[in-house]
Amino acid sequence: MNKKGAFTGIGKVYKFTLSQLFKNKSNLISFGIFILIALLAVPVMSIFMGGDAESGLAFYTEVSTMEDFLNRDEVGFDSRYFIQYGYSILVMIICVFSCTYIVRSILEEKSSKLVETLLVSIKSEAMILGKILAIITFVFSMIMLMIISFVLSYFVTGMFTDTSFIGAALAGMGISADFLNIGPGLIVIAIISALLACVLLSLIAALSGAGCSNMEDMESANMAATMIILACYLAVVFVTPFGSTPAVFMSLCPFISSFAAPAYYATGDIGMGIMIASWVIQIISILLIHRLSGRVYDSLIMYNGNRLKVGKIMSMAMGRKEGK
Amino acid sequence: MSLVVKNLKKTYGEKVVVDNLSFEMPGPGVYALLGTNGAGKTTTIRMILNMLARDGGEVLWNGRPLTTDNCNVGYLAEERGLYPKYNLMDQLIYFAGLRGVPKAEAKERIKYWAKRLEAEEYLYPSASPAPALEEKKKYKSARKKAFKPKLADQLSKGNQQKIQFMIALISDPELIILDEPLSGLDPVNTDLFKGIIREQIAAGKYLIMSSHQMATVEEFCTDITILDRSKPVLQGNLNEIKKSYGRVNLHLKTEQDATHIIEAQGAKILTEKECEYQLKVTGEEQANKLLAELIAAGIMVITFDLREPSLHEIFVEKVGEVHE
Repeated sequence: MNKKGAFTGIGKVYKFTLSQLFKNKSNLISFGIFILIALLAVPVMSIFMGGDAESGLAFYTEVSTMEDFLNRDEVGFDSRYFIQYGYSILVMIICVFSCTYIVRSILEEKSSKLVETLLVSIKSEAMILGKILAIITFVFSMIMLMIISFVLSYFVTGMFTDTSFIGAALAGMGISADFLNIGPGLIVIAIISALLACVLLSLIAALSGAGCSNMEDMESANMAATMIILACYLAVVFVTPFGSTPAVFMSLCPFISSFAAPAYYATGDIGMGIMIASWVIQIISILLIHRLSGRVYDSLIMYNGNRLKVGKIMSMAMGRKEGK
Repeated sequence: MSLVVKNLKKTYGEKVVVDNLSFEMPGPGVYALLGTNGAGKTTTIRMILNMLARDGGEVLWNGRPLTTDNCNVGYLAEERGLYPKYNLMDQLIYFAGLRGVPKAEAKERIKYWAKRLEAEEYLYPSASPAPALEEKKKYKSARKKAFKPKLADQLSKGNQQKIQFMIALISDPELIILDEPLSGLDPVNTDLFKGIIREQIAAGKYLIMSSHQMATVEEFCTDITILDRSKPVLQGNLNEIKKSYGRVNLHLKTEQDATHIIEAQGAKILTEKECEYQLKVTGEEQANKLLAELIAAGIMVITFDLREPSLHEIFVEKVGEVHE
């Protein structure tokens, strides 16, 4: 039906999906376990490593003292590698979580034959976008709560025992606010980039999920998005040893930039201008993929047959609608 | 108000699935879409609701293209489904919200329909009586279970269908599309659904019904289209169609054997069982002549019922004609 608007109903889908995610027992148990791990990580580490900052340092790196580390002229391989590795693995985890939830959610609706009932009231694009936003909110809440729990645990543990080994260990890895762009600004930048990566990859996961008809296809539906996530992650990790030279290219490359740019910003390889350009490119990519996928969601969401290959879906997006 | 479906066409590659289908509902009532399996009924409905892209034609409501802006639509899909693991009440409120019904109003309507469809115990579990158990512990645990909101997969197929019917009617739609509404229901629930359909007709609603149960369609519909292999093979007012066939079906029951008289009069015996005959006559004249002969021969006539062909017979004849 010619619905009231392309985005009418997104809010309702968002609210419903999010509430159901938080009501789901297994989700809550996972949530609880992750937070518990984050809360216990510092106290447990302090039992084994606390009280001796040097031991923490030695555990991670060959740099023996903070003085040596701070006296270095430029951002070294360690700093660049660990920052890039740490950030991209976090984005990868967030994206994999989001994509898996999205594929499952779409397949659940398709396999339980709810789609037709839903499509009387809402456009398929709005339905999928509402879902994506709800799932990203859920996954980000989970990650944020974990980080907050970890920070809280760090400060609370610090009141009772020596937690300086963590700072020392990070400094040993070349991660220090003293000469890297680390601060609240970087956290905001990292969150924005991770969000954009999540939305972009979730759109691909949604397309892949919509091209399947039953829950048995879930694993293969996840594959397309997972492969892209892995490719982005590996590209970033493999390029890092080449120093700051490819930083601008990596930061402006669609898909990869969300995995790379914030880390390059932290190491000072790119400035705020390139960072903003990277976001603009990500947003354009999101809009383009959303537009392309909008052409096929209607057909795919009604599709009932064997799993469609990505190539077929793309040809549908570029050409005319099909269905079965 | 009026609904006009004009020259609807749908093709998948070379295959024509719906070929130039047109019909009109100038006023409230029930329009039946009938046809063999794969004739194009569900595709037609999906095109009316704009879930599937049309390759031609248009659907007008009051002279304007049908949209949810200008027409409140309720739809019971053939492929029915509910979220299997979500609370039923949450689902109903969600679907009502998508159809623009505010939460408070939705709750009132759910209450009404739950009572009307005898589904209160699934939506308001506290209303169901707790089993009488002597032991306090057992009683407590039983009460706890009884108060737990029901999930869709805890309901039988028929009861799930009640919930889906509620979803279709929750927005108090002016156009109601029911795809095989009574399939899979037991006789008690069939009567319950029929009663509600009758109420909707009396309330001046527009209904489009697709069904294989000819007797049911005959009970409600005023106009029909019979589709066969994507093409309409018979269309029009059901009474007019029946009249055009004439009164050619004769149900005859006698005390004595009347076979020789029936044969002498040239009537065709379709079935015969213990002096009860289903006959095909050429018209009223032949039937009257037969009755006169029976009386003249001193044969006691218990039943003499001359009637138009049933929709089932018309359907079989029409579709059979095309296949020959």
